[in-house]
Amino acid sequence: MGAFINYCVRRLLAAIVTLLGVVAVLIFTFQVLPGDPARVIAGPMASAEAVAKIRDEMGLDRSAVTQYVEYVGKVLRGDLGTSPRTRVPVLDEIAERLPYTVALAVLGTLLGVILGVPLGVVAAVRKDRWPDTLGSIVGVAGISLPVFWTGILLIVLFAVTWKILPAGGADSPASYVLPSLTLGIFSMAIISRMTRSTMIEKLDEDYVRTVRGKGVREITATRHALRNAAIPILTVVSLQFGTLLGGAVLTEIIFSWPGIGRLLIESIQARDFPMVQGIVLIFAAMFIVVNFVTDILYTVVDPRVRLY
Amino acid sequence: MTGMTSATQQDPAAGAPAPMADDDAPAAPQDRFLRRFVSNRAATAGAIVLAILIVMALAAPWLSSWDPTLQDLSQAFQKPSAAHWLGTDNLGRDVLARIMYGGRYTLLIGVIAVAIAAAIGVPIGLISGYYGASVDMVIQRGADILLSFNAFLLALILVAVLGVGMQSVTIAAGIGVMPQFIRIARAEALSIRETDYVAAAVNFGSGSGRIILRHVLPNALTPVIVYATLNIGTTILVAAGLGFLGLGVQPPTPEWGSMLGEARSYIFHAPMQMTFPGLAIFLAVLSFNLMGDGLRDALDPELR
Amino acid sequence: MRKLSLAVASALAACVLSASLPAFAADTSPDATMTIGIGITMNTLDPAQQNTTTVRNVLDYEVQTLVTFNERGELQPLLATAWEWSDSGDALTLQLREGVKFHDGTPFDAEAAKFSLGRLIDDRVSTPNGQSYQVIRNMEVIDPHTIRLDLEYPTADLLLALGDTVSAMMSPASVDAKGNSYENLQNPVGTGPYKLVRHMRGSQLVFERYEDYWGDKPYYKNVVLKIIPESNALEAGLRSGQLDLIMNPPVSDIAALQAQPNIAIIKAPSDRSVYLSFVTNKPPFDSREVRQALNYAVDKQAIIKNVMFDAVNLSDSPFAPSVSGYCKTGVYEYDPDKARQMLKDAGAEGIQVKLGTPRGRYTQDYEATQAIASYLRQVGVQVDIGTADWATYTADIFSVDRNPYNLFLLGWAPPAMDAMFQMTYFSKIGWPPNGVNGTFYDNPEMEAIFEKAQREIDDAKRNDMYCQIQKMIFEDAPWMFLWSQNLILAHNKNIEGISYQPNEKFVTIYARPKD
Repeated sequence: MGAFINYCVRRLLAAIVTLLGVVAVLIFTFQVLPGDPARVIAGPMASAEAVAKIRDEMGLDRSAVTQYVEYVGKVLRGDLGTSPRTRVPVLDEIAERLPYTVALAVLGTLLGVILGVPLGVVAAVRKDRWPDTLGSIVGVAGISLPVFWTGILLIVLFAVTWKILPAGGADSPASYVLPSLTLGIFSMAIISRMTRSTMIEKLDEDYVRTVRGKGVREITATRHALRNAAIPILTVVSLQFGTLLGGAVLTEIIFSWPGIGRLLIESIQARDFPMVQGIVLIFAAMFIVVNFVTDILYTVVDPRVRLY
Repeated sequence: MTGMTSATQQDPAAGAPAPMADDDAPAAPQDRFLRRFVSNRAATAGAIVLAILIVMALAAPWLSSWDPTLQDLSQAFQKPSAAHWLGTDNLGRDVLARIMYGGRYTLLIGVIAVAIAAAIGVPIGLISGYYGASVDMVIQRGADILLSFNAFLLALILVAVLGVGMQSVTIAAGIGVMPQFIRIARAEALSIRETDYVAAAVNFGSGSGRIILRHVLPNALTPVIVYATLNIGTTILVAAGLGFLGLGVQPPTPEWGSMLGEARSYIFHAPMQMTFPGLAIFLAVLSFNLMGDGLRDALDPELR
Repeated sequence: MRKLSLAVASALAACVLSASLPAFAADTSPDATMTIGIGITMNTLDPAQQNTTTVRNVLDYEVQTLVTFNERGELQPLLATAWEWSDSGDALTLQLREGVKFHDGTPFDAEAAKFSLGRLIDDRVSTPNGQSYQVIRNMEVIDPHTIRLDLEYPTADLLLALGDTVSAMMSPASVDAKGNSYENLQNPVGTGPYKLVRHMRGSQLVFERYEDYWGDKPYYKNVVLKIIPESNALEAGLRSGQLDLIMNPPVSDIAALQAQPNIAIIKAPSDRSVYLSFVTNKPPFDSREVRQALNYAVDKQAIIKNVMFDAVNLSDSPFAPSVSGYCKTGVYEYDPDKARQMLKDAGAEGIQVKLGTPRGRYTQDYEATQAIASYLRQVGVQVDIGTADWATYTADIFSVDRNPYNLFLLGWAPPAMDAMFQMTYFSKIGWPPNGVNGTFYDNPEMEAIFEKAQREIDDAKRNDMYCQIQKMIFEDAPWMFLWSQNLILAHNKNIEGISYQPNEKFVTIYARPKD
C-alpha cells in the first residue's frame, strides 16, 4: 500500500510540474500573439477608453512573470478567472460545455471499441484471408479519411438529402448520431489496426503455440491471446479517448456542437486569453488523468505488471 | 510503464522493432526488403497512387491549360464539361487544375513538416534516452507538456502565434507531431544503450556524441523512417484541417484543405465542390499510410 | 333578488377584468414554440456591455429601451411615451410609461431609468459601445414617471441612442440577484414580452412569454434561439422545418430558398455599409484623383449581381439609407477608360496596391475582394491581396503606422443609426489609436461642419449639414464606395408577422402562424 501511495504522489508531482509548464507556455504564447486582445474583444466601434478599460481588466500591461504568478495563485484557489468576453467565470462556462465534449469522446471511443476490436480480432485470426484484407482496408481507410470531410459528407447525406438527422446542435438524442459516427470511424480504424497487430503477435507467441499443440480449440487459443493483448489494446483505447477529447475540435465546429473544442477555437479567434488558458489547462489535466487511470488499469488487468 | 501510455497517437502499430534477423545471409538486405515491399500489394498500390499524385502536381502546367488562380465570375459553378473536366468553383476557377496544382502544396507541407519534426525530435529523443537521469527527466516533462495537447491543438495554437500561411502551417504541423519522434527516438536509444557493442564502444573510450552518431542513430533510423512515413499522413491532415478553418495556406493558393473550407458555404448550391479536394486528401494520406505499413512489414517481418 | 345582484356583480366584474386585460389576450397560444437559428455565439448578456448586433437582438426579447425604431427606422415610443427638448437643446425630458413592471416585480419608474442610464456613464462599468451616452451630464428625477437628462452640449443623436439595446431599462433590484453585480448584470431583468428561462451556453437560449407584460402579448409561448455557427447547418435546419427562421443564409442559396414552397425570404435594409478604405496619408492614395480613378475602375453592379447574388444594395452615398441624415450623393459609374486616363494624368500608372480583407466577417467579403482586385488589374494596377483572421486583421488596420495594406475592406453600422456614430468612421476623432478610421482622412472644412451638426437641434438644418458632409466625402473619395448590406431573413412561409429594424435586427414579437 505504501508503494502505491508513493507512486501516486510521484505521478501527482509530475502532473503538477507538467501543468505549470503548460501555463508557462500559454502565457508566453499570448505575449507574442499578434493583435490587441482588448481591441478585438471591445469591437471596432469601441472608443479608446473602452478598449483601455478592458486591457486593464485583462491585466495585459503587466509583465509575463507577474501574470504567471497571479494566474497560478488563482488556479490553486480553484479560480480560473473570468472571461472578458462573456463576463462569466471561465470555470462555469467550461463546466457547462465540457460534458458535451466528453459525451462525444465516450461515444466515439465506444463505437471504436465495439466495431474495432472484433474487426481486429477476426482479421488477426483469419490472417491473410479475406476477412483480414477487408479489416485492413477498413482500418487504413479509416485513419486516412479527413474528419472534416467525413463529417460534411455525413451531413450532406443524412441531413440535407435524406433529412432524417439534424445537421447541427446538440438538442436531441438524434443529434448525437452523426458527430459520434464521424469520430467513431477514426477511432474504430485505429483500434482495429492495433488489435490486429497485437493479436497477431500474441497468437504467435510460444505459450499459445504450446496450448494449440495440446490440441485445444482455436477459439480458446484466441481467448488466451486476447487476454494478453488486452494491455496494448487498452492503451490504445485510452489514448483514443484522450485524443478524441482534444481532437473533437473540428467535429464540434462542423456540427455546431456546444463543446469545449469549439469554445477553444472561438476563444482563440476572439483573443479571450483567460478562456483559452482555462480550456487548455483542463485538456492537459484530463489527458494526464486518463493516462494515470490507464496505468492503474494495467495492474488490474494483469497483476504481473509492476508500476511501483 | 509510462512508456507504454505514451505510445503513438496516430498509429500504435508501429512500435519499437526487434533488431534485424540474420536468417537470409546470402541475399542482400536491400533486395530482401524490396522483394517484401513489392509483394505487399497494398503498399505497391499506395506507392502507385502517390506517384500519380506527384506526377499530376509536378506536370500540372503541361497537363492542364487552366491557370488555377484565374477567376471568371461569369463561369462560376459550372458542372463538369469538356472544357472543365471537374467543373468550376465559386469564382469560376477550374477545379481540376486547382486539384493538380494543389498537390504541390499539400504534399510538400506534409513531407517538410515531418522532416522538421524528425530533425528536431529525433536528436532530442536520442539524447534523452542515451544520457538518461536528469536530462531524460527534464526532456520528458517537456515532451509531456507538448503531448498533453494533441497534434492538431498544438498546431492550432502555434498558427495563432505565427500567423497564417504556408510556412506557419508547415512549422506548426511539424511541431505538432514532433513529440512522437522524441518518444520513438528515446525508446530506441534506451534499448540500444544496453547492447554489447555500445558497451564495447564505451569501454574503448569513445565519446558519447560519437557513440550516439555511429551506433545509436543508424539503428534508430529504421523505426524512425517507418514512423515518418506514417506521420506524413498526420501532418497532411493537420495542415488540411488548419486550411479548412481558414488558418492555413491562404487563397487563392490551391491547397486541398483550404479548398475544402471554401466549399463549406456552397454545400447546397454546389455539393460537388467539396468532393474533390476531400478525395484528394484522402488518397494522399491513404497512399502514405499504405506505404508506411508496407515499409514496416518489409523492414521487420516480426512485426507483421 | 340575490341571483340578480350576483349576475350583475359578475357582469360588472367581467367588464372590469376585460378592461384591464390587454387586448388580444385570447389570441395567444398556450404552448406554441418558435425556433430561430442564429449564427453568432453569445458574449455577455449585460446590455450595457454589449457590442454585437445579434446579441442585442436576442436581448431585445427580454429588455426594452425608452424608444425604438420601426421598419423604416423612425423613432417610436416604447418605455418612454413622450419627450421634449429644452429650447437650448441641452436638456431632454422624457415621460415614462405607467403601469410597467420588471420581471422581478419591481415597478418601472424614473429611478429605474436613472439607474440604467447611470451605469452607462459610470466608469466602473465597461461599455464598449457607450460613447453616445457620455454627453449626459446629469439626470434629474422630476416625478416617478418623468426624468430629465441634462447634456454637456445639445445633440439630437442622444434620442436615437436611447433606442439602442445598450441603454435598455434594467431593474435596480436585479443587482442583488444571483450572479449579478453592479458592474456585471449577467442575468438581466427587463420589462420585455419574454423572460429568459434557460441559457445553455454555446447551444441555445429559451425564452418564455411573460404573462404580465404591459403590452400586446406575443402569440408564441416559447421562443428558442439555437446557436448554430455553421451556415449550412442553419440552412439545413430551415429546409427540414426544424428551424422557423434563420438570418443570412449563404447568398448563393437565396434564389433556391425562395423557390422552395415552404420558405419565404425577407430582404431587410440595414445600416451596414461596406467600403474599401484608402490610406490617404501616404502615396499613392494621398491623391484624390487616384482614389476617384480606382472608384471608376470597378464594376460594382456586376459584382453585386455575380458575387453577391443581389443580396446587397449599391451605395449611393457614404451613409446607408437607414442612417439618419442620409442623402443621396451619387455613384462612381463603371468606366475603365476614364480610370486609366485619370491614373495616367496623375502619373500613377502601375501603382502597387496592397489590398486587405477579412474572411467571412461580412457577406462574401473575400470573394468580392478577389473580384475587385481583378478589375483593378485590368486598369494596370498591381494588386496583392492579403488576409488574416479577424483579430490580426483589426490589429493591422487599426494600427497607427504598421498597416500592411494601403487599401482595406471594412463594414460600418451605427447601432442606433445615428449620424454621429456613422461619422466616427470618417472623422479625425476616429484616427488610430483612438478609433478605427485607418484612412487618416483629413478635411478641416468637413470637421467644422461636423462639429456644428452634432449640436444642431433643428432637424432640417442638421440634415442639411450632414448632406453637405456626405457630398464632400463622396467627392474626396477616401473610400471606394461599395454597397450597403441587407439583412436576409429566410423563414417558414406559414409564419407571418416577422418584421425587422433597419439596423440588422429581426423582430418576431408579433409573429404568428398564418390561419
